[in-house]
Amino acid sequence: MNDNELKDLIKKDAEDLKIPDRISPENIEAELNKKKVTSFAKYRKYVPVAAAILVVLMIPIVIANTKMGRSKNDMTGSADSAMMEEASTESAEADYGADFDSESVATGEREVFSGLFYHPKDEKEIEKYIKDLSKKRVSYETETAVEESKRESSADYVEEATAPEMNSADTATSGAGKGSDSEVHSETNTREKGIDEEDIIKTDGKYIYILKNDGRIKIVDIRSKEPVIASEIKSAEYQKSFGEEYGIYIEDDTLMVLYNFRDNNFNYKNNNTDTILWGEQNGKTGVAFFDIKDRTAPKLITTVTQTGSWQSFSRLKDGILYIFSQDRAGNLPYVCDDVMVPEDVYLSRGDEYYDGCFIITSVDIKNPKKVIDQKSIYACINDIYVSQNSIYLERSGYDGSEGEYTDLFKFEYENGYITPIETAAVPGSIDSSFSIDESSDGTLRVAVSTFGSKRSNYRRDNAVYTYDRNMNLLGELHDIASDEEIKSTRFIGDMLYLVTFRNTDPVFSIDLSDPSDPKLLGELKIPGFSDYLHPWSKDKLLGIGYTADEQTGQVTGLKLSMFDISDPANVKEEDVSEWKNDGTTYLPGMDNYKAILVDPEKNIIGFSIENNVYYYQRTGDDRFDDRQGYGIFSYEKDRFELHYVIGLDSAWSARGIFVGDNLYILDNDKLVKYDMSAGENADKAVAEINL
Amino acid sequence: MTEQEILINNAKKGDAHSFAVLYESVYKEMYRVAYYSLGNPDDAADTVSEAVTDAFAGIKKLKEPAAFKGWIFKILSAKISRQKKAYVNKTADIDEIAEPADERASLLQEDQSVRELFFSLPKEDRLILSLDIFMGYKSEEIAEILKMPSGTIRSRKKRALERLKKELL
Repeated sequence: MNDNELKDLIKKDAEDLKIPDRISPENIEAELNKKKVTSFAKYRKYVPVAAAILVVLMIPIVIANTKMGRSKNDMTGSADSAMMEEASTESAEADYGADFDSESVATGEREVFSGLFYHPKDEKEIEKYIKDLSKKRVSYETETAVEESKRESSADYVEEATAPEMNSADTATSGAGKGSDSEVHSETNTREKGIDEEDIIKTDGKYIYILKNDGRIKIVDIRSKEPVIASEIKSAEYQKSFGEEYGIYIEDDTLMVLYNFRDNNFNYKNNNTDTILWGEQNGKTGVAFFDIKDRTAPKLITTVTQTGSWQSFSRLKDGILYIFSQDRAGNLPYVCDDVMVPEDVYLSRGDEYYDGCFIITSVDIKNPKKVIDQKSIYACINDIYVSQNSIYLERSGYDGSEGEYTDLFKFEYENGYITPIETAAVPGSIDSSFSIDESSDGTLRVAVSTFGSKRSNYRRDNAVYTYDRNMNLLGELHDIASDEEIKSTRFIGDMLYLVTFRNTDPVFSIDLSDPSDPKLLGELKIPGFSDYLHPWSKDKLLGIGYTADEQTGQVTGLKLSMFDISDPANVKEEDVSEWKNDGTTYLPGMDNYKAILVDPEKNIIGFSIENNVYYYQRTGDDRFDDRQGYGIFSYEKDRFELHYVIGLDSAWSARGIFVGDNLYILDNDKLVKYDMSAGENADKAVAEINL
Repeated sequence: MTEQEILINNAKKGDAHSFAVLYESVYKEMYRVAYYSLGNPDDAADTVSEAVTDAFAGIKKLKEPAAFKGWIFKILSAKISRQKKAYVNKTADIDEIAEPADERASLLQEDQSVRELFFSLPKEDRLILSLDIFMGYKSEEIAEILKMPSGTIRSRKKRALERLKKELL
């Protein structure tokens, strides 16, 4: 029996399945109608405020950004039992009276973001808001969670370990290379220059820090020829909830690990028991800070936790870590052990009853026991963009008459302090992190596709909008590549390069030097498309993407393009390299820019590739050949050069980094070292270490 | 606009009937995936029903009408994963929960053994295989739905199929 016959057998078996009557389309429709009355009706009256008017009516307002009463969030690393938790909650509540002068927050001053959001008077108002949001849907899961939290509330849970046990390898300090200055090394490919983002691998030139699939962190000493494991951090050392680690940071002697978890020890009675929509009761995002002055013995300093595990983001700038988390389960906004104070919370007057809280906190990594600032907005944020001075939160929405729009909430930040500025609704949807950009003078530029909007007659269309510092609309440009899809974007200075695709790949150059009048300068049509654009030099723009069949638009292979942008009105494709194959080609880096290695100075381009050739599609044979590799390219004398492809076990999570002339490839559970200066032997592994 | 786009636009405005028409095109597959992943008709129906309620409430967030199917299966898969977590919490193993007798009686001998064998697979593998078999999703698509590396999906799928084949022979 081959795979397909087996699958057919299972498929046949399933055909006899009786589908319960209660989930028939008729009964489901009746159910939905019942729910609609209870949930939709409640907030309908606010609908007219939304979207449409926002674009034209932008009245900047002064926001009282009071910095009072932060003492609650000095994390003293308490909380080793339910009793402690109780006590800290009480003291937090007691503080509100002192901190919060309800009279000074008379209606006017309570309004933020053009009155679409407001500060609650007290914690009770937040609770009521959450209750109102929630649909009466006490799920099986919720009940379990209550029981579980009851059962486990007395369990020992030490948030701050006093002396975590570390596993350090005996061979850790070999002495070789000691004292030598660290070499030039690659950095995580980030959205914004100078603003770091979490990833699964980091290096400081002397060590490589790796977050493995299983949540363990390995510190690898690379100072001598053979890399050795200096130490390991297990997740149980900082969290006991079987959470999921998703990234690390390194800055000097501090290592940070970010994770999502379900806080079972949390004081459940303070939380709402109805779920709004998605996500977990007591779902949280956490960061554990480690002192790694001694790389062989990392020491836990503290952990910072906050409500929300539906989605998490983070940024590190100038020694301050910004942590973003989205909750969608109706949990109260907590930072560490305390409910956030009302003046840091913004409740929505909109009709988005399914939006939970989105929390932003900032922590000085030199003093992580104290949270610098914190803000929470009740909105469901899809993505964030952090520029040198501002934070933009993106929320996509749909308006019955106007179609798709994206709400942008702008905050400014400085030394960790976060101030809400204004909001604007951009007509259309923002497809990638590279489609939104703030210029050096504070002008916001956004490229959107307007597939579902009334303005574009529900046709696929693309547009660019510009906004001033206070989110007033400055200019707009429409009808860019109608009926085509945006594939990639990159803002470089006053220019926007935008790649769209249907069957061929036009590269558009758009001049934004006068933000009130964006101009389409040029258009270059080429086969295939670039899915990722990276500035290579002043005059050159690198495109990584796919070749495609011009008739059908079907992807047929890998493609690299170097565009000459010295004359933006007349962009040229200087060189192109294509690798066709008869199966499917997939570049994981296209979905995760952090997986791409690009360094023009070092003249290196690296990324992983999956070429899957499914033989059974052609021959009926169930065998398939799975080719995965990491490709290393350079660009010399106006030509791409493929140096070699290193075979991989898992292209999906592979990373390539370099330190000096050494290339390190992280592939699943191993780190392999190559010498890029070894000429013909550059593709031969110099050393390999199992993690 | 295609019919699906019109239905989605109406559903975004809160029209339950349009949504039900959309649901009709996928509900059998949804139930099969849920049933084969969870191994129990009641839980499968609960999960489908919860996923549909959530999908209706959140359809405003659906950007691409063409992506409706993938989107609703993402919601369903998240529900299935959570269901399984709930079982773990309850310390009752999913495999111990018996199916109603009549459900079994109606099955042919061979099919029954296939289904029982299928239920003996690890829980995650059942979800992965269900998405492959009933939906025809490729490993990359399943990876996207389950937020797992596609290499992992491929190897798990292969391993699970090998195991079934060995048992069946």
